This record gives sequence, C-alpha cells and structure tokens, in this order.
Amino acid sequence: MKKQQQLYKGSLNTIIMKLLEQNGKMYGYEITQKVKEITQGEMNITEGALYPALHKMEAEGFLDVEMDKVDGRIRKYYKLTESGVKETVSRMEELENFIRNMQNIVTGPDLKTI
Amino acid sequence: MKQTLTTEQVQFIENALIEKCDFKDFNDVRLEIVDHLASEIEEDMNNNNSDFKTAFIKILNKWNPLILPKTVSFYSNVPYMVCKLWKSLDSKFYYGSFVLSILLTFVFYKLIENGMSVFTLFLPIIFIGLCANVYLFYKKITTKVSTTLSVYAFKRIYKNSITFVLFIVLNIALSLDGDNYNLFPLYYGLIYFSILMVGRAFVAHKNIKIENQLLKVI
Repeated sequence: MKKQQQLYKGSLNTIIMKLLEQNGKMYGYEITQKVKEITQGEMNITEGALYPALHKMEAEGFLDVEMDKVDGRIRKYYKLTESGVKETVSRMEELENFIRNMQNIVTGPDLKTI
Repeated sequence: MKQTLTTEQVQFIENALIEKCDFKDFNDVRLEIVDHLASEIEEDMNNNNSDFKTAFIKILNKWNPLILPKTVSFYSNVPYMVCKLWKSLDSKFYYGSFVLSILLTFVFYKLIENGMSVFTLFLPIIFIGLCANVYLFYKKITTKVSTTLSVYAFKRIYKNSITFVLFIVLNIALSLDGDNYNLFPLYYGLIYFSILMVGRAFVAHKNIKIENQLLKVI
C-alpha cells in the first residue's frame, strides 16, 4: 500500500483539480472521502498532503474559496478558477499520456498484438 | 442516529488549536482545520462507537505533525502547515526578490557607468516601493481579521520599512556627493527592499478576498 501511495504522490494536484471540475465546489474532508470512495479505500489522501496542496493551488490562482456556516461550524469550499479549469485540462492530458505510456510499458508489444 | 458535535465540542477543538498549536492569528486555516477535525471525530464516534474525548485524542494525535509548530524552524511559533505555505511564498517573493535585485542592480550599475542619471533610474523604483509600503500600512490598519496571508504580508513591516527608508536616504545623500562607484551595495539594498514591498503588497491584496469571505461568516 505504501509503495502505491508513492506512485499517487505526483498526481495529487491533478486528482484534486479533476474532482473539483466534476463536483463544482468541495471542502477538504469531502475531497478525502470522495477519493477513498472512488478508489474503494486503495488511495488515502492524508491531511499532510491535502492542505498544503490546496493552499498552494489557491495561492497560485487555480482555486477560489467560499466560506459558509454549516452544522455550527465554518466550512471552506474550494472551486476552480478560470485558469484552474485550463490547468486541469492540461494536467489531465499529461496524466492520460503518462497512463498510456505506462500501459504500453507494462503490457509490452507482444501482449498488445494478441 | 448519526452523531454530530455540539457547539461546545466544536469550540473545544478550536480552543485546543489556539492554545496548543499557535493558530490564534491564522483564522482562515484554523477554521478549516476545526471543520475537518470535527468531521473526522464525528466519523470516528459514529463508526467506532467512541466518545468525544477518545475520538478527539486519537484524531489530534494523527494531525499533530501537521499542526504543531516545529521545534527547529525558520518561523518560530508557527504551525507547520502554515510554515509550508509561507515557504512556498518565500521562494516566490523573498528569494525571487533577491535574484531579481542582483540582476537589476547589475543592469543599473552598467547604465550609470554609461552616463545615465542615477535619479532617472531610481526614482521610479523608489516611487513604486514607497507606494507599496504605504499600501501595506493602510492594509495593516484596515484589516479586520488576520489570516495566513495577512500575517505573512505584514511580517516585520516596521523593520523592513525603516530599512527601506534608510536605503533611500543613503542612496540620495551619497549620489548627490557625485561619486557613484562605491554605491553598488546600496543600490542593491534599495532595489531589493522595493521589490520586497511590492511582493508583500501583492500578498496583502490577495488576502482581501479571503478576508471578505471570513467576515461574511464570522
């Protein structure tokens, strides 16, 4: 599991941005739960990775924030800015290329021809 | 029935962050973490049938590396999570100013060697730096709620402002003297602090949106 987490590490920002693109606005805890749900517990985003990533993307202008009072506490929602949407498209293309190349390496030319 | 935390329990979490983890001035991040901690504690209480105190200790222990200030850190008494953001801002503004200042100082020095007036080159730099400085003081006075960005923007503002003004005065006084060839370090200081002020003013401006969001809900 730990080795898998290392593989996911480089794609954390892309994962966050993709989720926000699909869901509009999300808060931190919701993002961690959504990832856990989609990957059936295989991927676990720790708070130590999530919040620095969110705050950095916010500082870079890819994310906007909105605050609301929910269940007696204040909740900070993140959503993509215009530049965030463009960046998401670009990063998803990169990730798709990466997956395609890794697929080619893993399956190999012999298996591909079958 | 799904348990949700009471107002007192949420307040307990917030007080712990303020007293144990130095989150007092970082309202935006503190409120965000309170919400996440509360959600995790609720999940633990519901899934494991635990009481609030047990769940609180378990969840907070998991979060400790991220929220406690590091014992050895460039920023003392600042939660680690905030340090991480500040470090990324530093690499942009602080170290960026350092490199840009060296480049500009070298260029200006060459221009002055070729006969360009010192005042023509430095007056715009001084003007922009002073405007940024005034803006920073204005935002410091008018900011109603402190956040991660506002504390960063106003950090050492008095010390930096005094040093900046000192560089301006020294540069003007020694330039009037005629001999500009030994003023390279002073040129660098003036340009560096001017760029630093602009960078900090930019951060203070970025903070407006976050502050407005906080004021909407606090």
